[in-house]
Amino acid sequence: MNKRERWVAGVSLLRDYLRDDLALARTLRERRWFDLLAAVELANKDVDPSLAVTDPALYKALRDAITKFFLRGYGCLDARLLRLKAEKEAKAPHRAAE
Amino acid sequence: MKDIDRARLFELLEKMDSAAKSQQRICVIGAAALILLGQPARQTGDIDIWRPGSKLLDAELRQIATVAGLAYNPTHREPEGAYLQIVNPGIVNLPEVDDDVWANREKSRVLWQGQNITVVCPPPPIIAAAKLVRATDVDLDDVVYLISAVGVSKRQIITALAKFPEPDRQFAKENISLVETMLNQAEQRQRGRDGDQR
Repeated sequence: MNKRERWVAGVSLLRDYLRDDLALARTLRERRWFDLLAAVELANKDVDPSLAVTDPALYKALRDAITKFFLRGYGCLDARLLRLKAEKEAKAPHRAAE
Repeated sequence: MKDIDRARLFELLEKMDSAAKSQQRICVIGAAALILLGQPARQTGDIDIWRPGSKLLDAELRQIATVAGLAYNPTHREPEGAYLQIVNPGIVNLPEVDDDVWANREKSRVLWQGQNITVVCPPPPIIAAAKLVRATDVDLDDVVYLISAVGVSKRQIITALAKFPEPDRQFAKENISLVETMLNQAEQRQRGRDGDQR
């Protein structure tokens, strides 16, 4: 996943999470490690303030989703461990469900 | 119908405690335990009571449940309103508990104390391990809360898991990879310190 793809995946998952309390848990259950990693990276580094001018609605949605993300405990997801998982899965996708 | 939130649960427990005449220890599992552990915005339609972890006087409990407006162990499929459900080992299984001490050597956690009623729950690592048996979306959302806000560690979950009866132990082991990417606050601080020293 390149930087742009990670941004799109992170935005998509966080927007889903704003509407659906279980979107992150579902992504975890489905072991979609790259998507989770994208959301965690976006949450940890927060939203670029310039987005507030170029796309205010998206900026607000992401800020709200990130607040919810931390308030409900998803700050326990560790980006380094997720990256290791995601890379391991990419190398051996048939073992992803193990 | 999920209409018991944190405020309503406290209200129900206070009503039950006022009506109780004897000392009873109620060991709650499931959503009621998570609500009392502080999980935000959580609601439930029933209060599940784990009999092996409780000291119950059934006749009195039925009476005080009625006083509080709760059905007691309803047998019909879709009970109206909130209810107390006594859960015995069977469909749900947890590690052995002897008086107040669980097989992982941790004591039950006190969640609410009244004049006569004490509400406890299994040690949080056991709750988290039990959640990994089914590992539904709601269960995993609960595990995230238990790790991040209650401070349960992966090591504690693995220790607790070893005390579960089969086949639940095996089911949960298959799902342990789901918590391998999570760190509780102490682990995060340790990670930060390790990073600083490098």
